[in-house]
Amino acid sequence: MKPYPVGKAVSLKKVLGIYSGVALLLGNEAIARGALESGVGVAAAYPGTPSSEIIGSLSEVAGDVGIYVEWSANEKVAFEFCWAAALSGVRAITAMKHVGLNVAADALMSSAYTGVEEGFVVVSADDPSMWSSQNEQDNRLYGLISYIPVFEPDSPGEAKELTKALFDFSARVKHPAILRTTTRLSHARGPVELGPIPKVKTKGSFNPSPAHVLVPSNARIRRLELLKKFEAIQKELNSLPFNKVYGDGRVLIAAAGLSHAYVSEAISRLRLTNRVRVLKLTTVYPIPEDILVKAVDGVDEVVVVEELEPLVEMQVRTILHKRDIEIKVHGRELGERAYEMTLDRAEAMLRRIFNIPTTSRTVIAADEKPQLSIPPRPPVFCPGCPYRPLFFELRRLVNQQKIKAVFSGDIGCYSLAFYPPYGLQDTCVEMGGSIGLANGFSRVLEDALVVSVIGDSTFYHAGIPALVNSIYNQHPQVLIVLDNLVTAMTGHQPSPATRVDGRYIPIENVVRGIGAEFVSIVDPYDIAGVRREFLRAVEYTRKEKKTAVLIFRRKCALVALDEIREAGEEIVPYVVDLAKCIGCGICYNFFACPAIAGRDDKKASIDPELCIGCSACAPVCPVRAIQPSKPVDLSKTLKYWF
Amino acid sequence: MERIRELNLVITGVGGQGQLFLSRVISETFLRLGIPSLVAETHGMSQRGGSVIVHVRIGDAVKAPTIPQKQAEIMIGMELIEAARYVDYLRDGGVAIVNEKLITPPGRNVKLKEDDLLKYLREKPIKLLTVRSSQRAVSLGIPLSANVHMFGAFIGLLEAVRTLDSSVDDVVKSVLPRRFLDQNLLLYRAGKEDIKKELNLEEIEKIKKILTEKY
Repeated sequence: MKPYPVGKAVSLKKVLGIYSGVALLLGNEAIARGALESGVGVAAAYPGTPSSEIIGSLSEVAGDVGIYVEWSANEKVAFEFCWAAALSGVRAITAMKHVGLNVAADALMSSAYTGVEEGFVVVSADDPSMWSSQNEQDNRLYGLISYIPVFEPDSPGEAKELTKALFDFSARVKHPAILRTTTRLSHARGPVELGPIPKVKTKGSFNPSPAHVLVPSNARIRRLELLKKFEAIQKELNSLPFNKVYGDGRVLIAAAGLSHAYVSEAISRLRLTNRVRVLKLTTVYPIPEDILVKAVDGVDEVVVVEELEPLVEMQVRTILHKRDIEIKVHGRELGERAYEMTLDRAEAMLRRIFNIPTTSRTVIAADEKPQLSIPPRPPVFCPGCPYRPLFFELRRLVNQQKIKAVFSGDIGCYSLAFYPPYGLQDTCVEMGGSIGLANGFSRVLEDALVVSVIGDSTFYHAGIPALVNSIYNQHPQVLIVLDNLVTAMTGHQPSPATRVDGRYIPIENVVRGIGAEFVSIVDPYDIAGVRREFLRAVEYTRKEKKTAVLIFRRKCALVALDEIREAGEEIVPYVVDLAKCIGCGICYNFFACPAIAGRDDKKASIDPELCIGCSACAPVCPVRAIQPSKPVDLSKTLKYWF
Repeated sequence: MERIRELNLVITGVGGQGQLFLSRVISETFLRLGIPSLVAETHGMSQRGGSVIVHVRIGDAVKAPTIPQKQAEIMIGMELIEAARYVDYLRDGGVAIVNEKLITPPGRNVKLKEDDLLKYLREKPIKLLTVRSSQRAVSLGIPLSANVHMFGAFIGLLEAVRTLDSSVDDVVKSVLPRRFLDQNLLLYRAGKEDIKKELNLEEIEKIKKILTEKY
């Protein structure tokens, strides 16, 4: 196959014109490639780790392939967009993180009732161990409540093949399919066999039917149809080529999805290959009944290996009980419910079943435990991040004026304001929860100022209904909208506030349209302005008992920096004038830019490799010791920040 | 090229230092030498200047995406605190290639010095090889490419202890980004030479035993 260089960019685009051979793709790119190879016509999503690269990589190639791809306002909206396409005979894929499916759950439930005309694949990327999430939720359970089958691959290569198969399956049974992945699959890069990309169909037609109108009289009929259809789907699953039985022994290891990758390696590490039979399950709900019943023939015990909830275990127990098959079933009691599967965990389960003692090889001896206290390094605001001066100044103001405040935070980079030295997130729960909780706090807390903090993308995703409520019901909260003009945390996907060919929706138009009377737009680099406007908003809220809105606007520094570099503008790092520096530590202890560090003599120094010359730290210094390393006209680059 | 059954590598550092890129260059190089690999990348929140570990598993027997503690043969540590944090991923006798670069977490009043961390790493039952990748990258005018120097060091180590296909340098040329290719190749070669200076014959035999045990 054609060689291609490895760059920073997503590699799906690089292998677009290649129809055979093996490429290294991320699990998410493999799913996107599978969608392309099955003739997907439209794709839509709201970004969320670990799902974002699926639609992200499709959006990079949309123009080349001629498909329609959009970043939607939220997961429900994205789901509905794709659902309509599939109802009209166009293949569609949507992808979201596990909690995103909660937002889209209303649509998911009804989609099982209407069914679809063409393939509709819903990807749920779950996050065991909560690497980038607020909870650990097993979305395989959505299959149970929605009557939509759930599939989980065990490698990037299988993810691509499975995606293709699911489009065909979904089209054949005229029903949506859930493709479930986890962080370790979505973000695993491995070999993927490439195949041809067919001509795509992006336009369809809609045939009206009572099946699409879920008024109660129709819904009652659809409910019965759904139960019948699901029974047929259950039978059909037995014929999919992904579930496999191999090996032989008196113990059956039933491994679901990615857990199969872990347990199959653990089996060979413990030299158990000749002592076990393996049932590899890709169809995780419902599990293929006939295959299971055949697989347990002649075994003494079944060990179910799966991550998070015991969903496969429950099904195995139910089926064996129903069929009067008396075999001991092991599952959750051997392993852990919380956190992701590991090789160690898979090995530990097998060791218990086969009474294999642990070796010292993998155990860290007590005298090896750190004698050094290694400081934690949580993620931080990037150099130049517009959130830093804002939270720095708010923290200082709250401390100085002893303001008793509850900061109701939200999901985004600004969640990091929880960490020292800012400590300005008292709650952070779910998308849009900032304004929603502040509605309640502002009514029941007598003596505290209630401040909600939300980013532009999250505001458009789920903040608007809560703000409508706040303004209509006159809840006295100060709403801070952090408008960095992009969905930053997940990798800079556009939000409705992002300028695309000059097109965007200004947040102030929306909040004024809803009826906010106090609206102020501030540059967060202007810390005097931050102070003045925040105090004014507090005053308004206290006096008028209504909602005040502060919009802090400045572009995400990573985006601005890219544009400044691309334009060929010079980046002039800042330096500390050591003769002036008094060693107060405000810049490195409280402003806390990663580019600024304290020296042994307590004076500050700026790392020229990390400094992006943003200038935000200069006004923070009480003696003006921070200056550009050479004369610079900041007005030349100002346009890239807004 | 000789088959590899299993070789486990962890790449550690601070988000933004280019660990993902390094892991991709390594896995692409091996793919082009005909050897599969599986990389568990770290995305999302931790990329914002947080602590990062990337698992790279090379070889035919690899199926699971992550490496358990005490099972990696090699660590590429791009920063000293993060090298110390994850050093227990290395098996006894494993090799740590560590960049002598310290990035203190901001706003936490951390007093650790380079020497404290190097001393800590030296006391571990591992082989510590230090390189000055950040300095090298700065002196070549591409300060953000310390990872390319470390890539050279990694390939140099493998060359020293076993026969890597002589075509590896050609493969590397096709894998590295076209932008600044000449400087990047210089940096890659410097990495190879620098690591070889750190190794004597006796040590090479010891490391070879550890690395090739699972091959």
